[in-house]
Amino acid sequence: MLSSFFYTLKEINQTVSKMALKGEYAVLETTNLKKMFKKNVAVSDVNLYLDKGESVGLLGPNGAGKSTAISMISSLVKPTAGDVTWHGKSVVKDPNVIRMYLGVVPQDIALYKELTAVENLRFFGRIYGLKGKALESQMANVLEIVGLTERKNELVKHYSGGMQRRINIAVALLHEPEIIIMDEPTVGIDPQSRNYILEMVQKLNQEKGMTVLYTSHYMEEVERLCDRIYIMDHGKVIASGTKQELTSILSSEETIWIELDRSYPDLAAELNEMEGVLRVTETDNGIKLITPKNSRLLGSIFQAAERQQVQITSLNVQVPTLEDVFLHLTGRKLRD
Amino acid sequence: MLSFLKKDVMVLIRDRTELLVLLLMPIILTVILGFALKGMFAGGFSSFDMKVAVVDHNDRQAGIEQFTEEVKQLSVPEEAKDRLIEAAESSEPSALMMNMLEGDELGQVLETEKVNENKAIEALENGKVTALLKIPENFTYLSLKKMLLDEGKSAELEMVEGKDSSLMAGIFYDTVERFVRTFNFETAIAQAADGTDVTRKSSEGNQEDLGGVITVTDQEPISSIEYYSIGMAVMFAMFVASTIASKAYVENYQNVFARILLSGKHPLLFLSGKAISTTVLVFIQLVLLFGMGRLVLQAFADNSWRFWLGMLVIGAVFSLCIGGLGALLTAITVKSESNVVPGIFAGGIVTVLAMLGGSFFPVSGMPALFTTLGNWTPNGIMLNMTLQWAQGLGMSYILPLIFRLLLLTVVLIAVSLLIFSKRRAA
Ligand SMILES: Nc1ncnc2c1ncn2[C@@H]1O[C@H](COP(=O)(O)OP(=O)(O)O)[C@@H](O)[C@H]1O
Ligand SMILES: [Mg+2]
Repeated sequence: MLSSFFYTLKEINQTVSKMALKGEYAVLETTNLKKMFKKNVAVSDVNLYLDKGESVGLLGPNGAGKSTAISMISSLVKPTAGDVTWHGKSVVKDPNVIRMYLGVVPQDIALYKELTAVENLRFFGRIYGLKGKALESQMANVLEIVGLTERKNELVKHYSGGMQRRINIAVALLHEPEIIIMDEPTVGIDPQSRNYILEMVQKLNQEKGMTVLYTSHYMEEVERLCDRIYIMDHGKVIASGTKQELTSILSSEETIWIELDRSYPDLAAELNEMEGVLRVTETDNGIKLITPKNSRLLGSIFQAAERQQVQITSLNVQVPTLEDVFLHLTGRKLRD
Repeated sequence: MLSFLKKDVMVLIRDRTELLVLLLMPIILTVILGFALKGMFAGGFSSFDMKVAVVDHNDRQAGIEQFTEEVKQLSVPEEAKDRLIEAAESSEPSALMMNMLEGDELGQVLETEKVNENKAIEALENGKVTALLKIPENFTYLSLKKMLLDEGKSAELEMVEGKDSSLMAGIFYDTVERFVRTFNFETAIAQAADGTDVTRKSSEGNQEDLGGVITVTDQEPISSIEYYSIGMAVMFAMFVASTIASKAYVENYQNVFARILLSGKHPLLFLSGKAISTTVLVFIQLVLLFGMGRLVLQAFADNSWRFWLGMLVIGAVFSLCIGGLGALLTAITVKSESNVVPGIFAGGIVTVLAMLGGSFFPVSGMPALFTTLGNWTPNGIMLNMTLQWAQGLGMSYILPLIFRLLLLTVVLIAVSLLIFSKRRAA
């Protein structure tokens, strides 16, 4: 609890000092963003910023408030309090300051399923003001990016889930936005499609210099894609920073995985009594220990196993992941 | 805007079932109802029985005698005198007129009753008769003199129309007038409404009432197939509105609506897109259905460009009105974020409206409330308008209906704007 408080403070400091130091605005910034649905607080006091060309992750479990935050950022939902600024100009006051520069990939497929990919692209391209040759070449362009050129004339409803996700992204890229906001673009699709999308986002960010705000509840994805990460829970940002900064929260601890052929409650009990062990969690096929860093407990663990006549199949000392960070901050797993 | 229309049309065309319902069903139903209920229309269908009270102050015999006496005094050759007297006897105007009114064609829809003046006025007031025709004293004498000798002042036929029957009364007036013109009586007809003299023009404003089908014109009577071609077309046009609204629901819940908003397009563009799409689709539907009726079912034998041009105009106005309906349903659907309203509309309200509007059977015999409601449904107005036009009634008859339809359109659009803009405040 204390640490989460600490990191919120730290984050505000970061924002403030950034503006003070550089004397310029972030590309996109939110200040004390808040949204209430009736009496439920969906998002509260969210402060985040994106610099040009940055790839930023918004990580949090379902219901954390990611989509709501994104809807406010993209001007679809009016915040209850707080502001969103695009190059220093308020999006809340005038949504048009951001709309032409912003590409949004919604969490759900926002397409006409009864139309083909090309027909969808043409319609959305037109309402973004694209016409004629420019439209056609942009369509070809984004189809190439998402790898659907060959199947562009099929109805979207006949596409696989992964292909629907890809064309959903393509539509958001049509008008060549400066920033793209993606809301869980890989939910419920096969590993290949997922990998394709992740690589694509990486390319857009690294090769085309597009600013990316990537939302997910998969920590591997944000770990892989994002320069900086905000972790959200219950509508609040509970930690933020680079992956290193975040995992350094746990730098004083390490995780030891002991893999066993079955569950041994006696061993778990003995380890729990052992000096230097902070926490013991029993899993289906083993035991997980959290210990202070460099506690040199491996010898004692083997001895305990011997005493209990337990066969250790493997043992693994793990550096902390974002998952662990989340667990540490909230006492819960990212995915329930 | 064009891209919105194109998209809506494409989405609808991809929906085969919906397309079949909107285009094939009305044709099938037209054929079924047209044949099944042929009997109702046997011998030409008329939706009303018009009763006219005739108050006859004229004495034919005396008139002819008086005229004959006068002719005898004339200083013309005997031969000419004989011809004039012969003409007076053979074409005595009031007899000819009564023959026409009671004759084969008109007799089916018109019932005349000779009564005294007090009774006639009473009948008119309590709605037992549609109109009152007064043949004045000396009508025979005066009109013969005017007609054959071109002398003296013309006799005046007086017509008084009942309160709620101005269309029928108007038709009656026209019939009498045409008769008068044809026979060159040069008889002035003073028409009175509610007992006070009014000119023909001033009563046009409330002519639109009821209508139904009238066979007292030059045209062939409406056949059952024709009746249901129109009835089903106007009914199924309303399904276009609910279909468009359901599609808007899908757009909203599949987040395409949000995506459209993200492009910076004003939400009202979405709504007006729906209104226009509905209008265009209904218009296409009408063209196809009436075209089908004409080519396959041999309905609407009138091939004059004037007739079809009128049909296009009527159809366009009706399409516009259903466009307004489409906008209203879309606004409610998007605002409530549920598909319930278009569902209820398509599943029940359309049927009720179609019934009131006369799509299933002519409603002129129904209670007043029923017909009044029907006269305010877009489909009811359109049905009446088309029937009247197909019967050869002129623009002056359908113009008030066109205005009523336009008024309805304005109201529908205003309400949908009201509902739709509330959503944005939330
Ligand atoms: N339109 C809405 N009305 C009421 N509650 C909502 C609405 N949208 C989201 N919420 C609530 O706000 C919270 C955050 O939801 P959401 O932003 O969708 O989370 P996430 O995208 O992180 O899964 C949830 O508790 C959700 O139930
Ligand atoms: Mg979400």
